[in-house]
Amino acid sequence: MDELDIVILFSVFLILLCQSTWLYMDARHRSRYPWFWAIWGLIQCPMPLIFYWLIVRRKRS
Amino acid sequence: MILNETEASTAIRLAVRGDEKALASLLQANYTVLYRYMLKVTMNKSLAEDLVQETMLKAIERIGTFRAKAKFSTWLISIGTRLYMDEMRRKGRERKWRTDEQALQAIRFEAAMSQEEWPRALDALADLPPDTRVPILLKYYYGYSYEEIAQWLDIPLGTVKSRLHNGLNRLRKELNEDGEKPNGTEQQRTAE
Amino acid sequence: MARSRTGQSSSVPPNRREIEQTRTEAEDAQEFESLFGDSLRAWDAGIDPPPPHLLELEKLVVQHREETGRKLWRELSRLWLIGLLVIGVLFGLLQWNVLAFAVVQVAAIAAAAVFLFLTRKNKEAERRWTN
Repeated sequence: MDELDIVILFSVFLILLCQSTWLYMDARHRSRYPWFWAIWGLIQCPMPLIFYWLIVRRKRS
Repeated sequence: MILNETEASTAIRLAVRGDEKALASLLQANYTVLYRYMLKVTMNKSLAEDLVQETMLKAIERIGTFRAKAKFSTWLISIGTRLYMDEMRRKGRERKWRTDEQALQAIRFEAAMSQEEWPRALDALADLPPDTRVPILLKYYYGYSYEEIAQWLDIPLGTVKSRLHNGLNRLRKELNEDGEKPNGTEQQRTAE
Repeated sequence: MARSRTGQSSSVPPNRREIEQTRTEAEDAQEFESLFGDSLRAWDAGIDPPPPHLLELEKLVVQHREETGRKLWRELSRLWLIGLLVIGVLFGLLQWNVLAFAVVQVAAIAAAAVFLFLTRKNKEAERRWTN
């Protein structure tokens, strides 16, 4: 594993952690399942954010 | 401690920004209003007291999101309403409702202690299921708008109106069946 | 304690149906007032709970904030620990077998979609709390 790999790994790690943390903190107040969003946010990006926006944040018609 | 308008708006501004003393003074100034509301809505003193406490804790948690233009008492009432409805929903008692006679008796007793005659009409109010009693009190006694009620109960506007309509019908019927005078006291029933 | 508030703000003259509706609403309000107004106000006047002391409330605010803050950090630590694990496993999977990794990713979306579909009604549980 060369240096670039390590940098990429670390960045992905940070991105996922940040995504997950943000989802958890926001979902605490707006959703019934903050842990669901948090865990999903650890697995992939940006699908959880997109779904979260559509389902929880967008004003329901 | 009563806050006049200027004091209240100053306190609100400070409280939203995190000042504990300001928030405490707002909670104290609005305590009685909140308590009276919760007691009327729950018809159950111990539940009302629990919910008042819970409402204050929720308010402490969410003061950062309070919009300073609104009335603090309205905000507390909206929080208390949601907490109560959640509680009823959790116990499945939102619609199927049997008046908690014991709790109601305790209220009657306490009212009698302060030399208030308990008006029989309020028994009819206590017989309403929560999802009807709450909108009726909010609209016809506290004067909140349909939109506010719909938002707090998370139901469509039409549902608010139909619950008010049905609730009023039911109250009317119950009071007429009772054969009693509307306010249950010694007044003569006068034609309106 | 009843205050009348109107929410109307239209510049279009109300049609006949609306006028009749408003009249019925006013009638309903009047009816409730005549049946219950005095009783409720009398009851209200008798309800006089002793408000908590200012210092008590201040303590409540400070304590509750501390407690909430502590709970939050506890939950976040759990999340980050789990995060280390999950991301580590996923990365290991990626190194070992890219196809398996892709399958897991797709499966994650599918599982999430199913979960969201099944729980769509419960979104009502946490509503907007502001105002």
